[in-house]
This record gives sequence, C-alpha cells and structure tokens, in this order.
Amino acid sequence: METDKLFLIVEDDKQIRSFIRFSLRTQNYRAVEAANGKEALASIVADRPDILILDLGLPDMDGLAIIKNVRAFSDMPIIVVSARDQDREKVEALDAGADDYLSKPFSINGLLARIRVILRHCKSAAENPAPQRIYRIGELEVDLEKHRVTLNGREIHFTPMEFSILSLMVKNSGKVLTHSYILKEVWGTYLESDAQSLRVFMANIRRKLENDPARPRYIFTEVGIGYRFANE
Amino acid sequence: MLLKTNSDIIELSFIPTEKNDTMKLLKENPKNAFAAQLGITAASMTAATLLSMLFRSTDFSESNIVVLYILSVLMVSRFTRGYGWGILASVIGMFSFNFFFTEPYHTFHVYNRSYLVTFFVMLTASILTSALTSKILRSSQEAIRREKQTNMLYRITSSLAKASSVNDVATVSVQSISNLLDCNVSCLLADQNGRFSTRYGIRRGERRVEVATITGGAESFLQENDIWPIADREHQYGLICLSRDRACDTVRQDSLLSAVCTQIFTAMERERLAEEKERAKDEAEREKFKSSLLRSISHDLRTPLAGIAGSAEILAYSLKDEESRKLVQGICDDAGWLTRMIENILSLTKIQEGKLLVNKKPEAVEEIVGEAVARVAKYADSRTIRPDIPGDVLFVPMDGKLIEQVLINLLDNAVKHSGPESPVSVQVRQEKERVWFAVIDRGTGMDPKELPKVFDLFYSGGSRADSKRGIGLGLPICRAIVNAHGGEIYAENNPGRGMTLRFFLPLKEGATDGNG
Repeated sequence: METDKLFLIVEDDKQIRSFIRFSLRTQNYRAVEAANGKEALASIVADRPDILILDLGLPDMDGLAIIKNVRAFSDMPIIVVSARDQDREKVEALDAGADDYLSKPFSINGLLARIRVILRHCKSAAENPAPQRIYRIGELEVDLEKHRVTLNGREIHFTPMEFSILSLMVKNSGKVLTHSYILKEVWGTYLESDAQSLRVFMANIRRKLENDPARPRYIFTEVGIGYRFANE
Repeated sequence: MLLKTNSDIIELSFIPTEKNDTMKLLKENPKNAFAAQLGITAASMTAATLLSMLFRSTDFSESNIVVLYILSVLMVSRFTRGYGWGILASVIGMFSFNFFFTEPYHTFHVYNRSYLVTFFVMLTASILTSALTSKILRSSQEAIRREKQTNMLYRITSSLAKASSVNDVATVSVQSISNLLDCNVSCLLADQNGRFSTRYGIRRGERRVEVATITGGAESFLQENDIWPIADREHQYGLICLSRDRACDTVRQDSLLSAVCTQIFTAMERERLAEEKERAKDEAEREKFKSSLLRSISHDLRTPLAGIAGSAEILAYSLKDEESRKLVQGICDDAGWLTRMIENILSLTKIQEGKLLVNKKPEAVEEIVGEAVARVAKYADSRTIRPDIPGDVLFVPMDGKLIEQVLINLLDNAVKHSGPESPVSVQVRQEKERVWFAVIDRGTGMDPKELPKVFDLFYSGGSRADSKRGIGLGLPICRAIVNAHGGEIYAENNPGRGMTLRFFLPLKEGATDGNG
C-alpha cells in the first residue's frame, strides 16, 4: 500500500532498531537506519526520508535538538520513542513538533497504529489540499463550517470554546495533543494555570459525547501528556 | 570560703573514722555499747578527779580544776553517742568538784556562796560543750556517710558506664550492691514480654556472679527478699533483690538504693537505646543493600528483556503454524510480565530511596480512572470493569501518573484474583475532605488475618489460590504512592464475595501546589 514512503529509524539499541525495522517490513514499508544523531542528520539530508522514528535517548545528541533541527526546514512526521518514565521529555518533544510518541517497550501493533494515523493524515492532506469540512468518527459527525455536532444523528449543542477544542481534536484524530498545544491553538496563549480550565472544558465535552465518562469512546486521556481523540 | 573549708577540716579531723574500734563496737552491739559508754564516762570522770587532786596538792588554782572537768566532759561527749552521756558527765563533774574540791570537803555543802555561780557556769559550760561536740560528731558522721555513699554511687556509675550490654549492667550492679551492703544480691531481668527470665545472683563476700534462667515463676524468690524495681513509668527492666540478713540501718539504705537503682535504670536504658539504634542501623544498611541490588539487577535485566520481548513478538507475527505461534506468544507475554515487574521494582526502589517526587496537580478523577481502566481492559479479556464515579467533574490534587499506576495495580490485582467472567468495579466517592477510590472484585477474598499484610513488601498472598504470579510488589507500591500523597490504603473482604481495596486522597492539602 504505502510502499512509496521511506522511513528513517534513529535508534541506538540494535535490538529495538531491528524490531522496528521488522515491524515496518510486515507492512512493506521501506526503511533506512541510523544509530546516532549525526548519522540521522546526515541521512535526513541524503536519503530524504518521509517519516522519522526517533529515539529520544541517543548517545551523542539530544533527541529534542534533532526535532528542532528537522522542523527548521521540514514538517515531515516524527514519531518519538522513549522510556516509560520520561514524560517530561515526551511532552517537550511533542511541543517541539513531534507528531506522536511511543513508550518503550512497545508492541508491533502499537507502532503500526501510530504509523497508520500519521499516514492517513499525510494522505488526506496530499489528496485534499482544501481543508476538510466534515469529520466523521464512529457515530460522531462534526461539521466545521456549520458548527454542527451530531451524535447518532442527534444534534448536540456546543459552546464556541468547546467547539474549537472539539474541532481541533477531530482534525487531529488519533494523534496525541499536549495540553499546551491545545491551549495555544484554542486560547492563543499558553499559561500553566489554563490547564485547569482545559480540563473543565474537556470534562464538559466528554459529558456531551460519552455515555460513561470513565469509559471513553472518543476522548482518551494520556495522563501527564495530553489528550488523544479516537481514530475511528 | 577559705575559712569555711578550714573549719571543715578541723571538724573532720576531730571525728572518728570508720576504722575506729570503739565506733565499730558501738555499731555492732547495743548492749556492749552501753557498757562501753558507761565505762568511758566513769573512767574520764575518775581520771579528771584524780588529776585535779594532783593539781590541788601542787597548789594550782581551782580554775584549772574546773577547766579539767570541762575537758573530760568534752572527751566523754567525743567518745560516746548522743547527748545523754555528756550531760551525765557534766552533772558528775559538777558534783565531784563540789564534793572533793570545795570547802567543806567531802560534802555537798558550800561555805562560799560564790561557788554556786561556779557550779552553774561549770554545768552550763559542760552541757554546752557536750552538746556541741555531739552535734559536730553527728554531722561529721553524716558527712562521712554521704561521702561514702557518693563514692559508692560514683564507683557504681563509672562501672556502669563501662558496661557494654544489658547483661553487663546487671552483673556490675549486683557486684556493686553486694560490695556496698555486704549481702546476697540478685538481679532479675525481664524479657520483651515483661516476664522475668534471667537471674544474676551474687553471694555475700564473693566476686563471682551466677547467671541462671528462671524457668518457673519468680514469686517465692521475690517473697524472701526485699525488692527494688529498675523501672520508670514506661519500662521495667528488672528487679534488684536483697536478702533480708544484710546490715541494718534500712532507712539510709533506702535512699542510697533508690539512687543506685536509678543509675542502673539509666544504664540499662542507655544500653537498650544503643542496641535499638544498632539494630535500626543494620536494618537500614540491609535495606539499602537490598534496594541497590534490586535496582542494578533490574537495570541489567531491562535491556535484554526488551530484546526477548521484541524478538518473540516478531516471531509470533511471522510464524504461520498456530501451535508454534502460541508458544512464541507465551514467551512474549512472559517477557512482558517480567518487564512490568522490573518497572515495579525500579519504581519501588525509587520510592524507598525517597526519590519519588509527587508532583501534585488537580486532575479530573474521570480522566485518571478512565485511563487506568482502559489500560487494564486491554489484557483483561472479556471481563467487565465497571467504573462508578460521581456525575460531576471531581478535581483531586494528585500526581496523575502515579495515581493511575495505583489504580492499574489495584485493578490488576483484582483481575488476577477473581474468576475470568467475574466483574470488577472501580468506585469513586467524595467524603468531606477526602476522595475515596475503591476497587471491588468478586473473587475469593482472603483470610482476614492476612489482610493487613497485603501491602507488605514481598508478601505473596499466602492463602489466595492463584498467587503464582506476583512477588507482591504492586500493592506495596500502591501504599507508598498513596502515603506520599497524604492518603491511606486499606484492604477488606466484602460481606458477600471477594474483596475491596480502597484508598483515599485528601482534597485540601497540597491543592495549591498545582497551579502555582
């Protein structure tokens, strides 16, 4: 299917690198590899990969620096990989422009699910340069132009602020959005104290969309990082 | 100051020391003492009379005779006890002077009336002298006794200070007291339960201390002896028992012995605290060793395990044969389980070393619970995990990541210990300033006696049937995290079936840390 995309795997651990390579091969994705930051930057220039899978804990360079470096000239999708207990670094990486993250140890399915979401967003952007008007996820339909939200065909009222948050999330469905990203996009500024009001808005939206807010169907919490809207 | 010291010395040199035979005699037998004091009185007065006759024959003045009598009264007071003998000697002296040395001789009459004044002055002077002497004597005896007592206490204190264990203290104590009071002494030491378990005994005049274990009750032994407790209001270390045949003067011994017992108590207390401190230090040392061992093992295991898990997953993906695939999937699952366990060990050692940073922020309970439920639901198959949370948004100050971990561990535990089809529920309730989280299963429950232990490190669930997986790390971590939040965690059996693990987080305290 998406065999035309080239992946760059930046990972110093040989085992994990070969694991990622194998996972990609099951889907017939092409991949090149780099074991450290220098090789990675060289490869980005030489091989011109389409998608970057980047370990944050590299021996020679800070993963964050690579992200900033890449973002200076390209908006290629970046998936960061890091240890479970490095939430702060993940958030920093996401805020610096990474598209999504994976915590080690991860499964093939986890990796492929992330890749699918990213490819879908790439594809829709490529096929449809005009912004999408209507998003359908499960039983939910969001019409961005008419500011209309329907669930199971029934219209639900959303306040303007709630609607801005919801539309941001459906546009990025399947991708993790950090608190600060949502705040910047919707409020325009980011203050740590606004995170609290974001949670309140989120709770209200959840009450309108979910049958059981503690067993979400659409809005998933990534504790300590942000929110992820359901992919399908 | 100097003057006073000098007068002290004079007084002291004036009084008998312990080696004085008379005093010893007086001390030991009251009958002999009476005879001896009578003898002394008679002898000194006779001597004074004879000497005075000699003076008269050599034509010395009468005043010398009066002085001589007063001197003899002084000598009597000096070598007798109490005021009685001195007064008696004064009266005898006056009458002797009257009888032998005033005209008419050998009668109690006087011609010269001025002698009546002499008699009166002489009697008063004698009585005063005798009273003063007795008083000095008495106070110096008291001083000697005090000094001796102080000395003894000092010796006991210094030997107790050198004692290096409770047993040592007991040995030194019985030796010192036996030495002091010259009698049989025993020290009964109490064990942790307050029962007297060991007896340190010493016989009068010996140095060797016998140590014996008390098997039966100590009552009969206690009845035969005088008893001094080594105790304060909180602790009783033992008793000092003294045989009743010891030297008398019990009133003075009482105060001395209470002082000695206080010293013994202090020494035992010191030893107990020292032992406790030593034990605590050992414990801490062991604990530290254990956790650093665990951490280094875990670190070294993590990387190869990730490799095993990864490779097994790849294999499981590529194998077509169903049976082999299942085998490899087993490897994969086990490696995954091991990885989780290692993560648990690592977080536990982190918690134990105090490196756990609780970053409290107000979190929406539904988000945390929802996330935890979603995580566990991934591998909990057909089981239904039912969250039951308040309808309103509830914000609780917490470290979301850590509380999520607590909930995952509790859910994991509930899933593990109940049948595959039995439901598990998560309840959240607000109660004034506390928010209670409860994970309720419908499993087998557990022995009520084991309940308090489930949060102990390495408790592996004695009576719970399927405890093969779990070295009891999940729940201790939960407790550590909840405690770090200022909450408490409890385990209890449900009235019907299964058990409930519940914990609370305080709503108020720390609520301001988050937004600041």
